[in-house]
Amino acid sequence: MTIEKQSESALGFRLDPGSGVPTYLQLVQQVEQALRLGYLSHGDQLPTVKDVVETLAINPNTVLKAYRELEHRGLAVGRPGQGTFIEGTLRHVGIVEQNALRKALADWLHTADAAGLDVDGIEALFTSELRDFQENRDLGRRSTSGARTSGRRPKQSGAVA
Amino acid sequence: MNVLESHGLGKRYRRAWALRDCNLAVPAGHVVALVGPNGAGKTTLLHLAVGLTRASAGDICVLDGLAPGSTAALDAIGFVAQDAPLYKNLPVADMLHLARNLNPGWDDQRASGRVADLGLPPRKKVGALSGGQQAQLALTIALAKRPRVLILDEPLARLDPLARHEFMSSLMGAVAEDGLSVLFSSHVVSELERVADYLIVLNSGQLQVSGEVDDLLATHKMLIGPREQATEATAAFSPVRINQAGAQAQVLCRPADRPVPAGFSVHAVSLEEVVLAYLREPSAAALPGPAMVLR
Amino acid sequence: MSAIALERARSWRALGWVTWRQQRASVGIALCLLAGAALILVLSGVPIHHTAARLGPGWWIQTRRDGYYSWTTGLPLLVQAVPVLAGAFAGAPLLAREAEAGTLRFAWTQGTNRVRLLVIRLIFILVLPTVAAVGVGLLYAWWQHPMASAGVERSATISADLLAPSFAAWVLFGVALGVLAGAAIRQTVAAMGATIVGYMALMYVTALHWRNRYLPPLSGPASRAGQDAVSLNQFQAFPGGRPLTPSQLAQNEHWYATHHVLTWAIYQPASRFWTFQWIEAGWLTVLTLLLVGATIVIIRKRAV
Repeated sequence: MTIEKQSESALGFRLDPGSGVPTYLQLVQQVEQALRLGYLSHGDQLPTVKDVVETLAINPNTVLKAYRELEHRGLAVGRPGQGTFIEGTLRHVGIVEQNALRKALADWLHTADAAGLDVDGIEALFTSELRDFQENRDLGRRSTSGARTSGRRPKQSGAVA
Repeated sequence: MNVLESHGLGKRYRRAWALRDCNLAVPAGHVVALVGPNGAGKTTLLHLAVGLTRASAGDICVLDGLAPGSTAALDAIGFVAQDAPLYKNLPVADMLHLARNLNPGWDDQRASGRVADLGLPPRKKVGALSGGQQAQLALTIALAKRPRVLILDEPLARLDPLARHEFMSSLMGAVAEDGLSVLFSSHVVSELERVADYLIVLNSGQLQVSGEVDDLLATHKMLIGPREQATEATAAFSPVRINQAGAQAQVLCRPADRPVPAGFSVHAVSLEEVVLAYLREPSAAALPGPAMVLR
Repeated sequence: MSAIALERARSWRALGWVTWRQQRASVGIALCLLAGAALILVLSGVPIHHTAARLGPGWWIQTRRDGYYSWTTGLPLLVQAVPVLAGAFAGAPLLAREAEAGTLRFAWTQGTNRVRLLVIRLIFILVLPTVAAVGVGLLYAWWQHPMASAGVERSATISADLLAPSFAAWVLFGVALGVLAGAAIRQTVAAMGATIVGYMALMYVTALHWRNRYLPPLSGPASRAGQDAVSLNQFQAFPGGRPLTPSQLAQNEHWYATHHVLTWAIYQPASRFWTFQWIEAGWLTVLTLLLVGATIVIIRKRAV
């Protein structure tokens, strides 16, 4: 059995092609996850674009987009000629807030269950709403005027597929 | 700057038109995928771009005004034809020497560096290398002349999955390092989304789609709803293809910012879905209008 | 860009390396054929020279009885096959094999103009074998010298194309025809076939019709023509050249003598032999240039 060393940097990326999540977002999420779990910390260098691209065989523009997004979220900074480095930290949500969120979620689950939604239906509804939310939040961040965009599409009242 | 520009480009062999009425403005700095079924005209288009063939109609120029096949164009374009043709009876070292003598701008260090990294024995005959190794050698030669754009005709066709991955890794690494533009043709669609950021779809010699992948994925949506209403409800959305299954219809279309009709849900689509839908509907097209053709 | 311009100026030598490396097999085939021809001539010529030296001027008559005749006149036919074989095996595959293997798609998309590549290849494949062919032609002259001095009538139709000027020109033509066939018919075997057919056709027409008619033939008594002249036609005639009618031909010897009937010949005198050699070499060379021009036009225009 061989153990392959991907690169000198602290993080090795992998892709999930079936997840429906755009590639660049997957990279962003993996960096955030690594930060959360402590594999990456302030000052660590992210893999160079060339290294990522050679490991995953993806378009360099995708990696650039991911690193730009990380800069946008305040998690990384690019230094010309040197690379991209971890800056900032993820925002931590306090225990009190987390409990309140947990309770709100439990209430919602009860409501959904009473309405007749089964577990898969609940999951599908949640996933699609979460995805929409993420896209709209990204659109909102990117709008140059600074005002919140009305990127939300009108919601459907039809049955979830 | 445009890597490739054509107006009304057409090519006829005897009586059949292999390519017709092709208007393209492909921007630089992209990895461009040219897809279509076998016989769609992909090889013809690429051969026109590198000067191996002359157009029967229309015109084509590369890299902002160079004529295909001119000396300047030959220097600036690295081309690997289908099946990566090389001189099979020459050893690797002689093959490189030959390529060096044919190309004035040759970067020998890069060539020998890559060959060493790839582990190709210099004394071994090219014909004795595996398919993947030959493809990598052809890519090395194309890269060593320091081109501004790489044009590859079905580079992955004969490669096994590992060789394919390694070839793509090499290619993307080179793009990351040099900022090359790449134009490659493929009739396998499923692996394109990771690599391509610009898409051209050819079908039976006609251009169907030409645009940035991000745009295509953002503008095309799958609308799913009741079958009876599908056609008229989506008529204004430039529907590409309507798939009917049971009581439902799935409509691939471009809703833009318009409100979605009641009873329909909106879903994002993958690049493979988009391409397959267009290939199944030869009359549909997603082409930039005249205002969007870049100069 | 001037660095690149300098590179190009030096690149003729580099292209020479490329061409040699790729083509050495083809050029080798052509040179081997010529070497083989030379070998045949030497192996058969040495015994002939010895015999002639030993037996003196009458050697031909003597050895003819011994069956020497057949292989001394048969061998040159093998040498005659050299130009067409060189054309088919060295000339035709030059472009046809590359078209079949797809390597033209490689060669013509590197940084070198395709006409330039062709010109360099032609220099190798035409010049080297032609120079060797001149050598073989001279060797042939040596070979047939004893026969000429023994008074063997020179059957000029057959041996004329083996002497230095025209042999070299036929080799040149054969290879150029092969290259053109390869460029036009992008399949090796078909191009080889076309080369052989085309060459044989021209050789046939030349040998039978043109070779002895480069200048208008002289007409006169056969005795005046001389032994080495090429006779195109001979008939019985009155002094002055008027031919006998069929009924007159049936007369007896006495009638012939009283009417001073003699053998009249339409002939090319021996003195014109070398003139004809150079004429033949000349028009073959011009034809070769046309073939080369046509090849260049074809590769510039056609799709690969």
